[in-house]
Amino acid sequence: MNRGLYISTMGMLANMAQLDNISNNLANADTVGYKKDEVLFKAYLEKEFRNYDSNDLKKGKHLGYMETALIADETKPIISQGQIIETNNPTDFAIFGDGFFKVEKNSEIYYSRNGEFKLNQDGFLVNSDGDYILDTNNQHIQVPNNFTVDEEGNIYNGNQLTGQKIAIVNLEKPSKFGINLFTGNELESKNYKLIQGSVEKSNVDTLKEMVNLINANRAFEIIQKSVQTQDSMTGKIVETAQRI
Amino acid sequence: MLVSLYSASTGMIAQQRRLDTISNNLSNVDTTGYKAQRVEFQDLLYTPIKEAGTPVAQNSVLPTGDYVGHGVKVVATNRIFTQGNIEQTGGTFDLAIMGDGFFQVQLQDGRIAYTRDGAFKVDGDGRLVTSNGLLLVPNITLPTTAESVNISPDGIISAKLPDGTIQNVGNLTLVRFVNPAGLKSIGNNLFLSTPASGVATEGIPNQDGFGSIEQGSLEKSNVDVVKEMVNMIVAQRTYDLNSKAIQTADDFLRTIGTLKR
Repeated sequence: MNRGLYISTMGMLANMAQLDNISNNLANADTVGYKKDEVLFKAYLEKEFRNYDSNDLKKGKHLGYMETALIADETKPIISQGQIIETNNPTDFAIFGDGFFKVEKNSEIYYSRNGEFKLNQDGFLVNSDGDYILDTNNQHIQVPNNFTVDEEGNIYNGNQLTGQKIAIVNLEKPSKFGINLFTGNELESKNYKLIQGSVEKSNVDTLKEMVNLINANRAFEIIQKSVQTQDSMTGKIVETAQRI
Repeated sequence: MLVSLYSASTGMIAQQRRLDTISNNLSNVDTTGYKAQRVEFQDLLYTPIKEAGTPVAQNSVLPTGDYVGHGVKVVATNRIFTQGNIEQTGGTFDLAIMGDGFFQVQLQDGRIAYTRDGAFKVDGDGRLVTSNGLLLVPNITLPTTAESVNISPDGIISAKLPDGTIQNVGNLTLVRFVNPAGLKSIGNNLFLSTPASGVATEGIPNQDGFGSIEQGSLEKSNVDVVKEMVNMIVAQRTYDLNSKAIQTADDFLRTIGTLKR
């Protein structure tokens, strides 16, 4: 069958993957601590072209390579700084710089940039799902009334240090778990400032996403035309063949 | 069908919820003791197509995977208990709490509810009640002959009688919660405690971290109108953008539909 038809289809599938990704980014344009994803495409099945018209029919003459298709290969979270918005709520935290909060969910440790924390009934710092936020010793954090937190994450009761410090760690290869959580290999983070009373908005650039949306849409239409052209060519061949 | 059609629709639904909350905040911008609410979002789980770390060749693994996200959901409507503005009213029984704490009032069914609304009145029997007629707890009964009533920052209520003597008629107490955001709103400026809020701790105003009582003042809502308006603009635009994503998904489907002639 016509190979071009299948190549075009793969192009359309790649565009659909792109659209799924843009939609998810746009849906989360307002999610605190959300990091946008980027789809990376890869040329698929690189094919070598040879001219077999030479004397050596087995080897042929090397003419070059051609990429025969494109697929969506990777989806990668882009960890760049989101905008910081002041909320004046003492249990809101924003990380300016590198790093993630440590969150304990079902006895496992996850990482998050979402700092919309709350206190639970016992005065422990938790996230919206009730998962505990961890300190530098992987302990749950119990805070006093009217606590304050400095830029490094040290917790104060008035002027006195409570001895606990909110853990901020870097991740080697952060990958998304969903529900505002990430997984990855922990690294030390030094290059950060913790800001109490603020939250970090998502880093989705809506203008860029809209441009990508238009691009994906147009590319999709163009490839569709190519499919139609190939279809009508096949149609012509069938018609001509009938007449013979 | 396309995942994007559904993930973009979750974006529109989330923004609708946000607008609902903003509208409620704005309509309560002048409500005494009202605390602003905020919608909090979470991204949904991701469907992996290729897991990161899958071996691709000897000594080599995929650095990042390929996955599809499914949109956004509202995870919480969180109430923000920051101090509201204090407005001077001059009313004898207008009490504002400067700092932490709630007044306790008794509901008709006997349960105790909590409020920051300090616009109290005196009923026919001389008892302090809320605008809805709910009794303040602990009950305060004023002598009917009182000429004036003074309420101190630490909650001591004293009445001046016609003969010039000053009589102590009771002490106001406040309660505090470990997690006020966990309180349940029941309307009418009232909250109920829940397992999430923790139990109420009673205390004397102006002591142990409790707020002080300011007579002749009311605490207005803590709604920041400018912030709410900005949030409204952001919500509308995000809604627009998500609808564009749905339109594009629709275009994709139409394009697919015209493949076959």
